[in-house]
Formats: sequence, structure tokens, C-alpha cells
Amino acid sequence: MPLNEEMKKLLEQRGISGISDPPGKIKIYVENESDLLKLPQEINIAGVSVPVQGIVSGRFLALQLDRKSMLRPAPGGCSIGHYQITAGTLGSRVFDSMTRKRLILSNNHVLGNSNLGKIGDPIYQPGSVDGGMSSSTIATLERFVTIIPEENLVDAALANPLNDADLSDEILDIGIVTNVKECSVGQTVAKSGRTSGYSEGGITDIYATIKVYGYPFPDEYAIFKDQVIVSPAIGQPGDSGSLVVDADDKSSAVGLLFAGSDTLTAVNKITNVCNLLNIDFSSALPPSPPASRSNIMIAALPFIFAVPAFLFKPKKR
Amino acid sequence: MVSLSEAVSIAQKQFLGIEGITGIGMAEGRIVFYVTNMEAVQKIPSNFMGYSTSYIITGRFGVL
Repeated sequence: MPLNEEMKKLLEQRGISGISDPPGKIKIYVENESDLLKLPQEINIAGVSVPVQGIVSGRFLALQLDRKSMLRPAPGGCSIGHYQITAGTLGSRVFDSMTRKRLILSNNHVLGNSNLGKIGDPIYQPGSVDGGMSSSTIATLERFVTIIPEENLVDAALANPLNDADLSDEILDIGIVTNVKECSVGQTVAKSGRTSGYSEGGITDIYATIKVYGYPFPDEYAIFKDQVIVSPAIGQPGDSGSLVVDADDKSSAVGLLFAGSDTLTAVNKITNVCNLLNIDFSSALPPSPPASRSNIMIAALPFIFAVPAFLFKPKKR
Repeated sequence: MVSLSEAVSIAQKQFLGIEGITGIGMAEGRIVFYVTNMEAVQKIPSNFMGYSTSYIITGRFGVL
């Protein structure tokens, strides 16, 4: 029902926080008990006197979380990082397809320190550049897909929360993601990141092979195949690890943000991420039998090459 | 004539090692070259294996 003039005037008054008009009465929310005295006993709506019920609610404030602060439970879109890096973004909670355990998804260069991390290393939330320290440890490094100079599909890693209750199912400004979908050129996508928050862009390419600098040093690059390009850019430094979702169906993941140029953002396909890490987004799925895991060897590779720093010879330009 | 995706794969192998070419993909039936600056544009063919090419000056891609 639209607000009538009397209700509008009431809402403009100091101390009145809100009005609700369920059938048969009017509820008026006020900041303080003293504000109750300002309320009329009844309000006339379309010629009918309706009784007023006053409720002391205090002031309503927009709820805005600081993405760079310590958040428990920690949602997707907030600051996180391996203890030896600055900070990236907690992408999303995901499920291990075999054990159904809830895990944290982000990039290898965020959770795995670009191959240099060891399984079990502490993961800070927020990341160290945002004030994270040992007391901010939310998880330990679980596994990652090793990045090699010549050819990669994903920059992805998982962390295992110390306490399951410390990980939220939600992503800030996006909500809960429950499934994945293939992406397509022209599709509008969205992400929620530690630095630039919520933003949207359009997919312009789903078959790109690109050189990405920063593995692990600024002048060393690794090649990534089968990448999604988004324009205009939706990521800034610190947004790495953000989950990318379909903007028209935010429960569906399409990618994992990991890199960008001055004008574009590069995103791993989420299908590749899920296949290589053996994860999914649905709490309803049953555990998959180990025998059916064709990619179990790939998922185990990070353990085999857990300390590959001496082998890792990125290309230099 | 090879398919566009095959042509893109071949172009990726042939051109990605060239200074200034930072990525190769496809869009709207063309092969797209991502380049760091105008100098690199001179190294891009106007068509490749029967497909038109286009370019986007992106600068380098780096981890975020």
C-alpha cells in the first residue's frame, strides 16, 4: 500500500525510523522510547481509522562490512592470503567432491604463494597487508594446482578451515553459489573482490591464451590457455581469487578471477577449476566414490611437487 | 581450410613468443591479438590461415 500523506509526514519527523502497514494496523518504528509520545493513536487511511502500534527499534543503518577486516564467519569477497603474501580475495566456500568437506577456494598465488607454499601453511584472514597475523589464521593450505611456465589452465588453490563455523556460505553482494555453468561471449558476469568490491563486465573471449606476469616475480610469466577475457576490467590488485558469477543468475559460478591488464580481466573457467581441484558448489551432492575420480592424480600433483621452487623456472622477458 | 579454433591454436604457438604479443584468442569470427603497445601491432598479420585478425592494446597481463 502506498504511503499516504500523514504517513509521509510522520516518516520525515526526527526520531521516526520506519513504517509498516500490515492489515488492520500501522506499525511505526522509533529511535527512542520518548519518540513514542509523538505518535498518534490512529491514522486515517482511505477514510478508515487504523490503530498505531509504536515499536522502539533504534536507527536503521546500512550494513556494510569492511572486506579488509577480520570477519567470522568469513564470507566470499573478503581479504585472505597465505601468511607470506600481501592479500587476495576469498573466492567462495566449496565442497570437496569426495569427502564433502567445506573448503576455501582462491588462487594458487593467494593461498599457495605461487607454488612456494607448503601444505599445512597458515592462511590469514585478513591477509597480512590488511593487518592479518598469526592470530588471524582461519585455515591451512590444503592443496593447489601447480603453476608451470609453459602451459596452465588455472591458478587455483584450496584452504581447509581450522573451524568449519568460521567459513560463511555467502559471498558479499552476491549471495550463495550452488552450481556452475559454462560461459559464453556476450554474457554479463559479476565478481565480489577484496579491493574493488562488486563489479560487472562482459565476456569478450572464451578461448584466449595469455602470458601472465608475476609468477612468482614481476618480470616472470607463465602461459595460461583456455582463458576467459572480461571487458571492461572488473579486477584490481587484491581482487585475485574472486569468484566470477553469471550476473543474471548469481547462484551460478562461471570463473575464478586471477589476472588483468590495464583494460581487461582474465578469468579461469570454473569447470577447469572444479575438475582440477575435484570440488563442487552443491551441498546436496553425495560423496563421489574414489574409483570414479579420473583426475585424482592431477589433484595429487601439488603434493608431489609441493616444494618446486628450485624446479620453477618462469620465463623472463 | 582449418576451423577458427584450430587457426587460433596454431597462431598461439606461432606468435605468442613474439615480444609485445601478450595473448591470442578469438571473437566475432576473428583471431584476436592482445598486444602490449602499438609497436607490437606491426608484427600481426592482417589475416591468418584465411581468418581476419584484430588487435587490442592491453598492456601486460599480471596477477592481481
